[in-house]
Amino acid sequence: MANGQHPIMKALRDWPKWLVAGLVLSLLLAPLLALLSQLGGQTQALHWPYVRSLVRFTLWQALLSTLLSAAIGLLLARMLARRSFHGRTLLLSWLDACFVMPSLVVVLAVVMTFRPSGSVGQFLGDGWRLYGLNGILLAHVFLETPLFVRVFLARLQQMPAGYLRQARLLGFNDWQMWRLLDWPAIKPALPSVLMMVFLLCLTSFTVVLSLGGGPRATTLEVAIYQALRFEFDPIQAVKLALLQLGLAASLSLLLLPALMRPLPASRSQQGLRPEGQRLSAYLQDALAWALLLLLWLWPIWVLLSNARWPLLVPLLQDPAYWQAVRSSLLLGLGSAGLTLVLSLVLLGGRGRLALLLSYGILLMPAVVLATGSFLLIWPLNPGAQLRLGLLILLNALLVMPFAVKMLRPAKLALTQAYGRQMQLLGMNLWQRWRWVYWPCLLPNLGQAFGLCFMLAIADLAATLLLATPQMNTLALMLYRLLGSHQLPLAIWLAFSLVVLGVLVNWAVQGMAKVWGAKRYGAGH
Amino acid sequence: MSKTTFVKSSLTSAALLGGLALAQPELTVYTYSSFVSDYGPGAQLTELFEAQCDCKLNWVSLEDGVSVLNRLRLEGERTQADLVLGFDNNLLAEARATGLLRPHGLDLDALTVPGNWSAELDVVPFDYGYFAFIYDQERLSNPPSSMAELLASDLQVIYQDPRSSTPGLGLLLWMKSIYGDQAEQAWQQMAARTLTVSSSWWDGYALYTEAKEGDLVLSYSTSPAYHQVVEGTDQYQALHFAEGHFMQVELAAITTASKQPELAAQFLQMLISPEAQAVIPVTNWMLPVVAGAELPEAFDQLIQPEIVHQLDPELVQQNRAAWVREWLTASSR
Repeated sequence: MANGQHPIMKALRDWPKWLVAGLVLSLLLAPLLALLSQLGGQTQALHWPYVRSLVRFTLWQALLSTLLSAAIGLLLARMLARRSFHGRTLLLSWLDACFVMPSLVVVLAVVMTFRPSGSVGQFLGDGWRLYGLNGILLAHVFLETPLFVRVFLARLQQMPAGYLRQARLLGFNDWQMWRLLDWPAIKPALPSVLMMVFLLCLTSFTVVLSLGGGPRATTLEVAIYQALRFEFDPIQAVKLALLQLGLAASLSLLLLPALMRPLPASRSQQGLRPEGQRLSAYLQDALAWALLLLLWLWPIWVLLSNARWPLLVPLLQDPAYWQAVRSSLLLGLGSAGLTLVLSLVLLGGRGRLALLLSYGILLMPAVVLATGSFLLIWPLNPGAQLRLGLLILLNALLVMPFAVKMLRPAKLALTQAYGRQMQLLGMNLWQRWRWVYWPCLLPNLGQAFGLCFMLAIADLAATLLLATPQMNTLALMLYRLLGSHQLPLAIWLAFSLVVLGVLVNWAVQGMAKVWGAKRYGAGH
Repeated sequence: MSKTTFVKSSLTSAALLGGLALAQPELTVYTYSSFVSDYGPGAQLTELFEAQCDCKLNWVSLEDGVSVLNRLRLEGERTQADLVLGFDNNLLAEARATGLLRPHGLDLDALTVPGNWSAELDVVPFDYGYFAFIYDQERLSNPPSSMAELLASDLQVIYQDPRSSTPGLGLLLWMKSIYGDQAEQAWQQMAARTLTVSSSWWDGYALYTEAKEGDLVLSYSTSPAYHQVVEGTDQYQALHFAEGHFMQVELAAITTASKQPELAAQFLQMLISPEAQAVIPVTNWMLPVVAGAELPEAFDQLIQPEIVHQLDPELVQQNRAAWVREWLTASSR
């Protein structure tokens, strides 16, 4: 056999992989151990009536957010499946963008639009309150519905053309389409996407922290942060963190394979659906458009239209702003770069190790990880540079599952396509990377880098816990401005965050393209 | 920029910074966000102090007064802070329990702030005031005249989190002083009146006055003077409550971690000087701690609480956690 090797030799050759795996594992476990080691200390007992209402609200808001997003997602997906119109692809890309929009930007848009004096809020009556459940639901629906649209639409469009032809022949009405075709098509995908969104809402931090408005609407994730930051009670925080870990981990365990499955690609319109001309379909689609306008287009327009140029000049002259840009850039580039290196090393072979470790990371809520790291570094009281380094490390870890999720299928496909040839040619690991994986994976690497960068610069949980008060990132600055209701200025910070993300995405993906073309010809 | 130039420029700036640090001592002060905001006293006090100290004053802004103490506790002996500024009389026992306050050696006999502060050797009071709810006359025509009326009303109230903010803690103690064992029921009523609980005074006050949300906001009896003097309006007024008001004395102290206690003491001396005491009332909008400070006329029109509540700092220290739990439970139900 060409690559017949003794297992020990193989393990030795794979040492970088095991080294990185050990590193990731210890980064994951050390904070957990730090949490557990606190438990012996003195503290007040958990206050059960409060914890009960915390858990109740945590589950309740996640459940409502999930069901609402699913319902609206269904409405939108069916509309998109049966209508073709100019800008449909653009709309789909926009919804995808909303899914990765930094939560703080969403929070700002929701506040500006739906506060009682906002352009929509003023029509919602005297009893309307944004802070609390309403605000949390609005932001979660904005962020999570696009995922449902993506999954549902893919399902609807994978329907065999023959089904649609028959349905047209039989003249199915809207209800029959739903009962006989749509529901059976969607049903298999439902449990995993429902649970995934439920998990995302369960561990949502930024949204609840900025829109919760007090103990009435606090989740475990936020209570952990408050126990640490407001009450200086690490042990209380640890207990809550373990509770959250139990809650989130038991849920994630159930759907780990689904979490790591790549998202289905949206396709172009195919096959006419028969129910489109019916009144009920028109009514539903009108509702879908109204919701699209109200929730995904108008709030962003409110942000754009309230941007005031005179505020930009002093901001651009403020050294604190450029310091924030610099730290965000370092944080994003560092985390995305590090996570790609770690993932690539781990993806050696069939990439099962990368998958396994990603599962481990997904089980751990970000605040829990940050709390543990906080306890580890707290006695050392490191300086700003070291803290930024730690933040990069932590965020690299947190975004790793996304990188693995994007890179693993592409790499496996390459192995499948060229594996035999590479073996026949007797290529070693270096040659395989140099001539096959690296050039072919460049576009995927660019995309993964872009997404990881976006996620890392939007991080608030880890940054709030680990940053010193002197430290500044764009996300932190935006969070503070939101808090003190300097909304017009906050808009520019939100723009900065998005523009930085988009620019880096463009740059990296452009670089991947140019590099790929220059070095290896456009053939790939 | 190429890598080498980047490295070079960082080295140069590090050298420059290092040079500056050698030439001028730097004094680090932890305080709450509004103190060093554009409207706060921070900038003027910096000017006053740097003119006399040949040093650089470095403010570190934390959310609110309780956060200042929390941060100090968190960092312990390794803290960067030479001074902490903005915790209050209610947190005095807890601040001392950290073992991180250092005697300042100043003579406080001349201070006119209520209480026997000259006996305290490790803290310096720099202003004081009474907690009160503020309302906007244009938005609310028939404001409540007591806490009981407020709780029975259908108004939307903004207040601060007692775990991070000294006004929030003030309200917690105020409610305790009025309702005693019945405080939990009172908090349940308050929960139904709550628009939002902000983590700092600044956030809550901005929500009320900038975003114009809610009917009442927890602040100080002196807050209307700000609107009168700076904005020329009497739109915002403090509510005079029949049950009385809770008093706050804001404090500053030198940490044991400070390597330049003399300089820090000089800062505290400046803080209670007539010049600084003339700045603080019209920037931090609290009452001065020395007699004879000249105040704008607006201060004459402020409400004068007849009943003033205060609690013993030791009592607060023993019960704060339990009372916070009581508040949490009652308002999360």
